[in-house]
Amino acid sequence: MTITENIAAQRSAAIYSEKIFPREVRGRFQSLRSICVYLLLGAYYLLPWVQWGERQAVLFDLPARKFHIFMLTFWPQDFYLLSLLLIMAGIALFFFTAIAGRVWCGYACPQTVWTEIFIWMERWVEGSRAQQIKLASSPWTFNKLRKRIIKQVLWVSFALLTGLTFVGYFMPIRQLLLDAATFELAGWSLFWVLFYSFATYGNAGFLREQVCKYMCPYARFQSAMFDRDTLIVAYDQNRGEPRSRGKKRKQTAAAPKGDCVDCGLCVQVCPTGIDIREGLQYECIACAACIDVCNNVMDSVAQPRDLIRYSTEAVDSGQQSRLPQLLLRPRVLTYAVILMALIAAFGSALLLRATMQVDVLRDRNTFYRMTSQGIVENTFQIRIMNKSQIEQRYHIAIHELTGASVSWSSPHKNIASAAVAPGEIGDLIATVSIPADRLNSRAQKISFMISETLGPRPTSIAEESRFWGPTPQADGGTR
Amino acid sequence: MHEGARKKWVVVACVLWISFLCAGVAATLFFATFDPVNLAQQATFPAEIDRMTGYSLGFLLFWLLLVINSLIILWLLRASKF
Ligand code: SF4
Ligand code: SF4
Repeated sequence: MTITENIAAQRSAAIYSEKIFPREVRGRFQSLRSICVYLLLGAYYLLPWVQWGERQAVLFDLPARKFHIFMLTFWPQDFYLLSLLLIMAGIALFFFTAIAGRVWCGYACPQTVWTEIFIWMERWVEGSRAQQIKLASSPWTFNKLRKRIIKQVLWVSFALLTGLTFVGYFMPIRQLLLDAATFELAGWSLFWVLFYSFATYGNAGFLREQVCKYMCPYARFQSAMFDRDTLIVAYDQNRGEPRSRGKKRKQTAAAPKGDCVDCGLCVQVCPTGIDIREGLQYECIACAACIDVCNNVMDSVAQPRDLIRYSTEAVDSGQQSRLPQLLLRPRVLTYAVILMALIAAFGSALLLRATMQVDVLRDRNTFYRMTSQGIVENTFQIRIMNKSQIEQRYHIAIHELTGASVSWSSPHKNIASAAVAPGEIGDLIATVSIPADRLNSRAQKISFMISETLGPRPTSIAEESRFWGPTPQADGGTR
Repeated sequence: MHEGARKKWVVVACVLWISFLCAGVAATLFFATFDPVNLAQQATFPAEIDRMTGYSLGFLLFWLLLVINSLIILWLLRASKF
């Protein structure tokens, strides 16, 4: 097969699905990508194992409805923070895309990162691109069967590990692994482990670049975020063309020739199976494999590097000579300002986040109780959510009802302050009492002041409710 | 695989995947606001579920609805003459 036929075969293979066999390549950007894979996947698999005090450092404890992230604990009430975070992530994606194009795709998208790992495993078992193609078209021999089985075992185990780790972000991973090891995993945890494993296997082992080409909204959306100064992977048309190859290149020594030796390697290494020399295409995930391979080729034919390189449309069309224009553009500055504002908002919301939340409920069964000493009593259910990290003690006081006193009556009577463990909700009871002759209406507004007594900056919360008593008599006494 | 069959698979994959993402967002918003345990107590029929069941069923239900929704839209668009 000539190289051009080879390219054509690969292109049609890419379009009509036979599998793409990306050729292995070494170089600056591929090393960078490998580092990203190690860092990101390392963080993913190790993070659930980190402990913070008594608990898992990062645990999105869905059954308990609280999220732990190191020293922070988030409650459903803090949901707006999560929304802010997501909006920030979105703007950040716009920001980085405007500057550097699809760096996300090339270096950080879970899709690419896991695909990369799966490709490594595949290469490790089946060998280089040429060997893989040969194996794929060879009849089923024992050797082929053996290689395929090893590959599948590796893939499936890795996918299962991924699924288990994923669920380990939502349930304590140590227990989860123990259950899995003793085959006691059941119910929804088992379901989600298998589900996520299957998704990993399908996306990274089977679908791969097709997720990017057909299923990813971001890939289609990028043109809205790109402009003439966005970094893209581009082939230097002026320098490369007219391309020529091998014998022809020698025979027509006199004719003008570009630097492209038409070796076709840039197409062979491309994980999405496109030819970058045809210009920017939406399939390109900016993995820079073609840059690395072309640089290697240029080195071997003793030509300067960068026939394929990171560039911008403006530079390519000669409007810009070099890249500093990348940063100081209205679009980038706008995104930057929005991003900064959001980060500031998020930071201050986080810092000013209340450390407690209080709910006051009246006892619905009895409006009031009258003691033999002529004291009217109301009981209130006080739910305190301790959102801090320390065991907090709460003091209760009353306003707006002169002559009344309040004290905790549950969990213990006559304590000065009631304790609630960190991250817990305390269901407490408080009793308000007042001599009957001090009341001047059947129901009146009262206001509780609930105060933290410990910690660096104890805060207080006021909550209103109503106090009920007997109807007061005209002479000031009660019936 | 010939091209027609392949196109169908692409459609199925897109529908499943995009519905999955949207169901994730919907379930997050929904369950950040409502606790499935409380919801179960309010049900018009006897329902006793724990939180994991609530979240899981909720998510899967959102997903199913979105898939059905997408498929019906696709089908209508395909079958209509503008
Ligand atoms: S195209 Fe989509 S799925 Fe593919 S790498 Fe980019 S963001 Fe990820
Ligand atoms: S054209 Fe180059 S940068 Fe783009 S996906 Fe293919 S190999 Fe990667």
